[in-house]
Amino acid sequence: MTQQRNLLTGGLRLTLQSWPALVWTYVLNLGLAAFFTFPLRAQIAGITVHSLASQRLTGAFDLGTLAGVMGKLSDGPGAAVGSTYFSIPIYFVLYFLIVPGALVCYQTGSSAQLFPLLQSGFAYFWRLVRITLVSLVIAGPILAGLNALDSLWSAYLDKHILGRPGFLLGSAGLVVVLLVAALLRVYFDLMQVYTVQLGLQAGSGEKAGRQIRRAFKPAWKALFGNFFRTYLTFVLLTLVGLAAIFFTARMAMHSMAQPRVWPMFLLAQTGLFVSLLTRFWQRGAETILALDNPIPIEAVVVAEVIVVEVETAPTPAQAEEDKDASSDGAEEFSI
Amino acid sequence: MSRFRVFSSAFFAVLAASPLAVAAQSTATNSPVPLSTRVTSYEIDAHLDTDKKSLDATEVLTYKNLTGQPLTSVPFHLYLNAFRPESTFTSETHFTGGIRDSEKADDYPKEKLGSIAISKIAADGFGDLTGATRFTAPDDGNMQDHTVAEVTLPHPLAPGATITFRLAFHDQFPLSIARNGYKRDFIMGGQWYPKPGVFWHGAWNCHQYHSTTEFFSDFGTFNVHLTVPQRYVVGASGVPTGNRANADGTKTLDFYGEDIGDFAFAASPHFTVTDGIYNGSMGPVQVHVLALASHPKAGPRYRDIIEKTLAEFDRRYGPYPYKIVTVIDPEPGSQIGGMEYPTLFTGETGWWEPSYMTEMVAEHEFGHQYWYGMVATNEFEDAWLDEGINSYTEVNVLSSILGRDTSLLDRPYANAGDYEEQRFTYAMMPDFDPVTHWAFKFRNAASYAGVTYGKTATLLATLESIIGRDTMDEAMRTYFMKFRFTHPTTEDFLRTIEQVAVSRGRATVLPAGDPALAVAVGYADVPPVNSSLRPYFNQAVYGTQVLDYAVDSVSSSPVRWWEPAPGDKNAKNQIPYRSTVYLHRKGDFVLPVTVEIVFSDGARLRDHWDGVERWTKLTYIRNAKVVSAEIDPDHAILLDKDFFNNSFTTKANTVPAGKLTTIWAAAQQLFAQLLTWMV
Repeated sequence: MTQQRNLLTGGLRLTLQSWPALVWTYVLNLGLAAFFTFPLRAQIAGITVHSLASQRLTGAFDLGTLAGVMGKLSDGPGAAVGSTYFSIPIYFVLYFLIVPGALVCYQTGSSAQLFPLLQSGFAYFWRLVRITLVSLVIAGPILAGLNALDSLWSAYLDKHILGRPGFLLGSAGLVVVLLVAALLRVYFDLMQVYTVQLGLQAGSGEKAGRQIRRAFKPAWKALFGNFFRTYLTFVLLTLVGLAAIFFTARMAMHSMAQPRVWPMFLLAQTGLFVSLLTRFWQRGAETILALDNPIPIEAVVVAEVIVVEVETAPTPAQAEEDKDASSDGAEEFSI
Repeated sequence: MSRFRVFSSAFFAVLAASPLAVAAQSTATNSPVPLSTRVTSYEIDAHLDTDKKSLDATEVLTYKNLTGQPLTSVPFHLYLNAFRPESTFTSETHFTGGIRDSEKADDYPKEKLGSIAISKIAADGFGDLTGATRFTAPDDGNMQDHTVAEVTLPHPLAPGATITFRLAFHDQFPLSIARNGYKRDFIMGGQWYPKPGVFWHGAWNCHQYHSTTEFFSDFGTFNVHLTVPQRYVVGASGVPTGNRANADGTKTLDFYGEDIGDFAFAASPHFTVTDGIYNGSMGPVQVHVLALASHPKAGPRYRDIIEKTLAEFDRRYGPYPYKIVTVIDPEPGSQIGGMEYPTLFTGETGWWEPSYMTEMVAEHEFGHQYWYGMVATNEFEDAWLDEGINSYTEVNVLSSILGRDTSLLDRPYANAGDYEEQRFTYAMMPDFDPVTHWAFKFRNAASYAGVTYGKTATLLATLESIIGRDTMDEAMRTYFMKFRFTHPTTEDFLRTIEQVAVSRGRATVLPAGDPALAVAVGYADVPPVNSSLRPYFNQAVYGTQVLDYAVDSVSSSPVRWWEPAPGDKNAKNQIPYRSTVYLHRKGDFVLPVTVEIVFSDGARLRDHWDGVERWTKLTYIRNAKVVSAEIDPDHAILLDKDFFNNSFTTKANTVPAGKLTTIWAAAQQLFAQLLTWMV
């Protein structure tokens, strides 16, 4: 009989137990943004630090003065602005290293310090890349189709319903697309969790591609066998993350006119951190679900084979039979 | 222009004798005597097909030959023909951009096709002229343009004589494009009827429709009868004078307008009416707002800003003589918002609009009632005289009503002033074209917009700082009162400013032969003044010079530098310092400037530099160091392209850079997090 632990509390517990993974992810994102924004800061400082005109951005936030700064930035080669974007792909790669490391920590309770995180991350990096590619192949057409329907819906609204009702109904269409995107997201998240689980069970002997293929079915069964609590947990945490971003951004915006930077910085970073926390929380909840719904059959078969191999040396024919049996099992889960 | 006035009384007498005019006067007459020289008189009977987005009409046009010479032909504008891929308008829009629509795609949507076709044109005493009508293309020779057609008369129209044209025409409105057409069940009838050119400065002035140009026409009277489905609400130029229900489910609405140069209408079944009254110096004015039901706050917002704007214009520039101004709230997503017609304009808003953009657009378009509607400059050739002057008065009026630094956005966390927006658009395109370029000869649409709107508003604000606000206000009022209901030119405007500035001692008359007077100028009714403002006009109006002054460096060192520095802070303040400030004229625009120097002991002093040389050095010996130096400390020379280099302070302020990079970095982080959520 499988366990049915609370996904919210269980996920939060895992997240907090492995808090360094969250903190490292946040710190790396912040550090990369700060590092790559530094040349831009220098360029803006060159315009504003010794100019009295910039006082309208000190005790106030004058959009005309802001436009003037932007205009001056665009006067030059613009390299400083362009270079800031490098932080995003680098963060992207680091995220693909840290997340599998965090999933290993969630499932094994091992240390979530940076080095072990990255060590695990390197082991699973390409598996996550493959899952991402698969998710793009599957989710892409689904979301593109929904997006096309949403465009038709928007066009219909544009013709027939205007003003606030039109905006709300148009937003409802977008919400539907986002809800489907969330469903796809939670499914492929679970695939990542099960891929790591399989990796932990099988060690390094099993090919990565096979592990990914084998993760399709358990992810599907776990999601749709526990659909409402899984999906609602995921959506709830997504909303919490978005709400954190919205409210802190709003508060940060309202502190733009203050003659100091730190309130805006702290508020914006609080929102970003909470948003990231909810994402890791989602990962924790998904891990709880996967741990409560483990991959039973293949793991047991493999374990028994290992025991037999140790106790009685198999003949080549027996080994071949075992191999065939293992392959059959794989086909069962393949797409 | 004066020769037009000679005929005006006689023309009015003829018009006033007609029963129609007598009836209309009872409800819609602006003044006991005509305010304008009424060259044209229109009687139009139009049926609008709201399903097919088309219109069939008959037009009786009476044209009075006040040119002083016989006329052998009359050109007509057929603007709706611009909405075809072959037209000059569409070609220019495709290749160099338009101010409303880019039309960059390689196909021309069928629903954006528009046209106006004259099925018959005849003239009393001249016979059927349909066969004598041919398309012309006076600007670029594009014979596929079809926005101008010329009617050749079988015999000349004598000076002082009148010709009555009788036309039948069919309009096909396009899906909204460039101020015109339909959007959903809303229809905007702008430039929708055949309209003759203006005989101006000895020749017909009838330009083709271009991507950046607007319009030019004579003053006259309009009697328009518009038949529409009964569920439609209609706003139009002039005053509503009749409303009759027809048996076929339609209704016929009558409108009468006088001393106006154009007639437009807007029709929608979704309009709600909000009315207000402004009691102006020429009597009550009805503020008649037709706002969409989906924009419930728009009606009161439009009404309030227009009532306040009417008061400001009345006080600053002169009275509004018409009995009504109609505000149209067009369908969202159309190309129709923000356009002016006589006594009617379109605004631009949304169901949620937290800034003052609604007010800004409404004020701007109302301002065109003065700068275009009454002071009827040639928008093809002198666009700066309507759009530019109007942008300048817009900034001043909105500053009075909403605050100088908050007239676009007034929130606790951020603000924006309209003057900054004008200055920014100028700073983006400062030097490709002079403001006096003909509208369709600008480098591209962006240069047209930046220079015509932004630079003009900015250069006139700078001029205001040179001659003083009171003098500038008086000059603007003088210009309006003198040239309302006429077609003035660039030099008429500039010379009026010079006259007022000289009379108030804010400018001097230059001696004959002064090099500043060498710039060739065009036609004007006002005699030359040749004032000390000419160097400014030559650079700012006729030239493309860029104004950019900078404080290059500020330094203070002990005069007796070889002696050891005193260790005590008080003693440091007792020794004399030699302070040096370097000023730099980075642009090619020469303008005398004021510099304010602030010292560490709190003292402030102002110096002046004529700006003729490329740079200058200011030196001060004082028992205090220089803390800051600022060119234009009153922030009045808005034409300076770069405000940031106008000053240098030794007290470093890192807050602005910190704020902006914090926002930028947080946005980067957020984007990165969202991206990893998605994949």
